Amino acid sequence: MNAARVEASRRAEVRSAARAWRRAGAIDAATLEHIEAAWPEGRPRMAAAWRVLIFVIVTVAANALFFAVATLIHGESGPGPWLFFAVCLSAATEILLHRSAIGENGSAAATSFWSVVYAVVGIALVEDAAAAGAESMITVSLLAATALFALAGWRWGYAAYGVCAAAAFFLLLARLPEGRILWLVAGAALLAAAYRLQGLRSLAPSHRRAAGGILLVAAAAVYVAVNRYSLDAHSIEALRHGAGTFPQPAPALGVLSAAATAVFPVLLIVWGLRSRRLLVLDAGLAASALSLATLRYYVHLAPLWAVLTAAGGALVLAALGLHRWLRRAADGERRGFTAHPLYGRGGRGLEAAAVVAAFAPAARPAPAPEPGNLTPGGGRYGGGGAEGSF
Amino acid sequence: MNPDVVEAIERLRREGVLTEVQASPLERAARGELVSVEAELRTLLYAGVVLITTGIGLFLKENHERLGPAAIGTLLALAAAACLGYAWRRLPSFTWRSAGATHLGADYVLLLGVLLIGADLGYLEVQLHLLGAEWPYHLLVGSLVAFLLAYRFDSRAVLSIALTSFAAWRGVAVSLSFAARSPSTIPAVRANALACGALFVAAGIASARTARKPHFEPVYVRLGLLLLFGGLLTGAFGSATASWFLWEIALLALASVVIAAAYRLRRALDFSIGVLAAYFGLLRILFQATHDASGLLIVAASSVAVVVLLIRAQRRMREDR
Repeated sequence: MNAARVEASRRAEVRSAARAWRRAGAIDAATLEHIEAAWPEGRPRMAAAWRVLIFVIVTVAANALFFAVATLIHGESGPGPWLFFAVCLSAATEILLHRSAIGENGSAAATSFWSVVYAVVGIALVEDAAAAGAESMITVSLLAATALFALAGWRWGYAAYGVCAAAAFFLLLARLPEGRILWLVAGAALLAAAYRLQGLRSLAPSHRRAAGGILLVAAAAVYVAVNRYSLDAHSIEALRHGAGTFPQPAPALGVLSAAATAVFPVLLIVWGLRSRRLLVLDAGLAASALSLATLRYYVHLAPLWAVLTAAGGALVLAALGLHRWLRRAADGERRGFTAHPLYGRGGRGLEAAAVVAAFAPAARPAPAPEPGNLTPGGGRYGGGGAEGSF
Repeated sequence: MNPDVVEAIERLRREGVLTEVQASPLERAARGELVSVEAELRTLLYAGVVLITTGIGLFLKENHERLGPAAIGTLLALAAAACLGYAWRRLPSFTWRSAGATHLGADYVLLLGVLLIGADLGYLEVQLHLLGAEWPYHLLVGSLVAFLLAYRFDSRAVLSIALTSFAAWRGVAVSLSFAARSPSTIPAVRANALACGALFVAAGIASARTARKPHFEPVYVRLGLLLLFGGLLTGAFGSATASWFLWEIALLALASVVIAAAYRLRRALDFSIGVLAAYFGLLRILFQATHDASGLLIVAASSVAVVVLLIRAQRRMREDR
């Protein structure tokens, strides 16, 4: 990112925080106006829905253009067109972000993303042309994806590319001998590095967000490396060799893995609570849920319905208890945690969407074309996977 | 923590724009010394409700013959009543306006109660055939109950359950899984989707105009738009006969109205829904007209044209408006 974009994104952070303070009633309109004048908007930043819309349309435009040209020059199926188009899209991204005022509207996000994808496919085709074999092509593609997404994230400042680069990096490690150990070691190292980078003032805001995404990927990699089910199912090893037979892990390793499956989520939660980093805490909560699912896979304490209902009830009661405990504290705060929304954006609109996605009832069947074919008693109700006829 | 915001707060304090009392809590939040776990609590509650409803669904499936409908129906009703009782105690009394900050946990307990009522109604209907051939009416009953509770407890989540149940009664799943249906039933489902969509949009407009729960309007309008555009798009893309063009005209006309209204009201999401629908309609025409590389070039060119139009409109849709 060039200095102007970094500065613009820092100003955007301050403006965004000030608007959140205003919504929460922490400052008045005059103060907000003062802040917006002191940290002027460098270039227009659009609403998320708008950016998604433009991303989709530019995606269609870019791919339609590529395949139209590819159809016109049919017969040319090598890496050339892919790499050439990747360069064109990179140039378009540079122009949109650094020579125009419209790059932040989702268009540069689309051109930059597809430039990396086309470059990765082009490099894979180069390897293919060298007749190096499918395995080599996959490894080279992952290496290219790691390097190019990291470079694109650094240059153009899209945090999601940090996540893509980290994911490609771990898939690449899985293709090396002792992939599981590499996941563990590299995951722990990246976890520690990303944790530190997240709070660095010298980094641009988007790079700090990328560090947050890398932290989550690294935590997931460490968890998969130590998880007992993953060890038994050879999840990481299968990424190198494909499906096949693998030697069973030593019993001591199994016991160690089972212990780590239980301990690692707790460590993350304790770390998240002590550092008050919500990303770490969230990773710990997600890992806990997966560890409980792993436990259920190996130990059948009760029927599935009872386990699900009890787990759901425990979650609701725990959340209600925690909410009550925090609310009743002085100023609604305990050890730096509060249940009040503070100055965030909220997300109530998403809540209704999530409810619709999970709990919308199945529709009744439309009337059959012939009269008299309607069979009563076929109603379905439920959600979250519970739907089904009684 | 956000070091840029920390630095800004220090500067604002130095310049006297923020008082010490104002700056202190803002700075603590920016430094990460005070963090909100509201989102985490919501996620836990949401996951809890998902697990409970899934567990109950499996329980009904596996045990309904062993326990019998009376026991299960009573059990579900008691559980639902307990949830509603909790919500009644914790949530604010009825108002036509937004109830403001509500009890975070009670919102989800209310949602669980509504889902349990729906499950109970569905289960009893399936077991006892109370409505006979008119069995889909249990979805309408569930929808009405959810509707009343949504208004009483000021819950947008419960309102969305009411609306999706209503649509389900008319045979329309919000997922609009037309493809999985028999071709002979698609016109009827489409007609119901359009009718439900129009009804929801009208209800949303009425909510806003009459200032009766005006904050419910986005739930009504967005679900309504999804159904309307879903119905029209399946007409434009799915009709094998020449009638696709009529659906296309209707789609473009509705999209134009939505785009114009959303532009005037500065609503980026509704504007985006309208533009996407119109764009898909445009692609349908292009695919009908051309089938070779020139068609792809026209798609690319028209997409760029749409982006240019959007850029011209974008000042109005800025993030901070």
